[in-house]
Amino acid sequence: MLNWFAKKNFRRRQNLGLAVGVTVGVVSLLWLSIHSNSQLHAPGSMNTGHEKLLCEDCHQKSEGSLRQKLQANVRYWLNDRQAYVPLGHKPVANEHCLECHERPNERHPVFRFFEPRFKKARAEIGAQFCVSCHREHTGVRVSADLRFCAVCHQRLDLKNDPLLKASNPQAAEATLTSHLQLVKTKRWQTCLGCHDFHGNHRMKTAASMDQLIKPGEINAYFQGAKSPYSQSKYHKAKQKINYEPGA
Amino acid sequence: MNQALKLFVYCLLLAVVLVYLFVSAPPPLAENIQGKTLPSRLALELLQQENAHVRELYTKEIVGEGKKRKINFSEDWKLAEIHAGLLPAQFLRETARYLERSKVHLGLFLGSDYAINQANQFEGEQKVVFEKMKYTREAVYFYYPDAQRYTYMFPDVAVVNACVDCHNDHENSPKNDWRLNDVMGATTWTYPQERITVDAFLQMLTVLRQGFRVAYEQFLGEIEKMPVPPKIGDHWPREGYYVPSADQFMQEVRNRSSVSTLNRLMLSMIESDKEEQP
Repeated sequence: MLNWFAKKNFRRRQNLGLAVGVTVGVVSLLWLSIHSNSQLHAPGSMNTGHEKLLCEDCHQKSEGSLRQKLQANVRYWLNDRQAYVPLGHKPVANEHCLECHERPNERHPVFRFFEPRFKKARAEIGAQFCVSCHREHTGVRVSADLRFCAVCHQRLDLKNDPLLKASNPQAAEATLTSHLQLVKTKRWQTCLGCHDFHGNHRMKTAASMDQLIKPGEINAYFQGAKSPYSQSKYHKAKQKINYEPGA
Repeated sequence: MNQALKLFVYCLLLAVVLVYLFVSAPPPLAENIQGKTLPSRLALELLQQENAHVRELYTKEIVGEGKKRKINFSEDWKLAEIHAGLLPAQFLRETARYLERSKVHLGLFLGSDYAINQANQFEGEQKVVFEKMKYTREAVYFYYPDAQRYTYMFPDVAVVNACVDCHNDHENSPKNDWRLNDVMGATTWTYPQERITVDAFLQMLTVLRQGFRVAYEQFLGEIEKMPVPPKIGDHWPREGYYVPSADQFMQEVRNRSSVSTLNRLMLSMIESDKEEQP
């Protein structure tokens, strides 16, 4: 008799557990599938300033049905079509970033680095892609190392070097150095202390090393802290993405 | 019997896959590139032709004639204390900077194996191609896999003494025995696709001409700062102490380039139509 009850209870508990499990699972799935919760299934935190972006702002589905895409790709492999079609989402490309961040005053336009002469920059830091330095889902502003300038700016013998005494008579002797000297001593972590890479902050470039923004502050900025350059920008990033059809 | 059945099943599966992939029940997916196209090689050739016209115009009519009128030109034109026009190579560089910021994905670069500015020194594959070009003196079109760009290099020949003298006399020049008609460098154009629509080409051309205009406006900006600036308007330096306005300059660019560009484009379209006809 006892056995019968135990067996019955076990079966009831089993059914109850199954019902709770299925309910929790279904509710979780429904909750996760709500559009505004899409970030919860991202591989990591969104980067600084991107918190309000939705998945599909960057990850866009490629056009066509699965069958159409398979057919298109077979034609591509048979050399009967120019372009490969991704089966799922289109790869995230520079164009997606530039949709919000394109600026006429850009100091280092990303497409410049496709020129053959930037082979080293492509190989070492992937300078031809925005996401090489701004890797998404890392929860920071800049994912690159402070010393990336070293790849391109090894030759830096300036005429009228603004760091030298002639251009800088008020500066203390101990703080004087030249750009050439900075390169020779590999002080690459100091570059961004005076120079804003994208050139979008309204700021006066420091004229001597004692005005330098410390590498620690720049690093904190990379991690998401406020800008040490200036709070004022020439061009603000677009707040809403509005892709052109077929872009 | 088993073998025959297996073969039948395999054939059946193959037939199903072939029907699924090749019998176009759904309409075939449109190519990203739609409409009339031309090879990017031709597109780059046409752009280079425009660029050559502008360089000749700027070099001879602005720099050459301007110097005779005591208008100053200097490689240090960007320094605040110097008010001078930019040199022809810098004019091209400013145009290229404009292209870099545009959406047309067009690359333009003037380099050499004996560059005055080290940033313009050829390296790697470009240097190898340029070594051959110095002897053949012919443009070279190739795919650059590392950058995933179709690349067209055009020899840059010393056509006037001013180029030779300036490069020979420059303190940072690694070569001082340049002569007239030497291949001093190469203009390199890059583009990511092998074919391009006519619409996209016209967009490229528009952006390139806008780049010429922006570079020329930088020259005018410098000229205006001169203590006694030449008059900016409808006249050219060969007529006196004048420089043409940006509108006037661009009008001359159009006069020199548009007919030949349009002719070659039309010819290419006619040839493409002939190829498409059965």
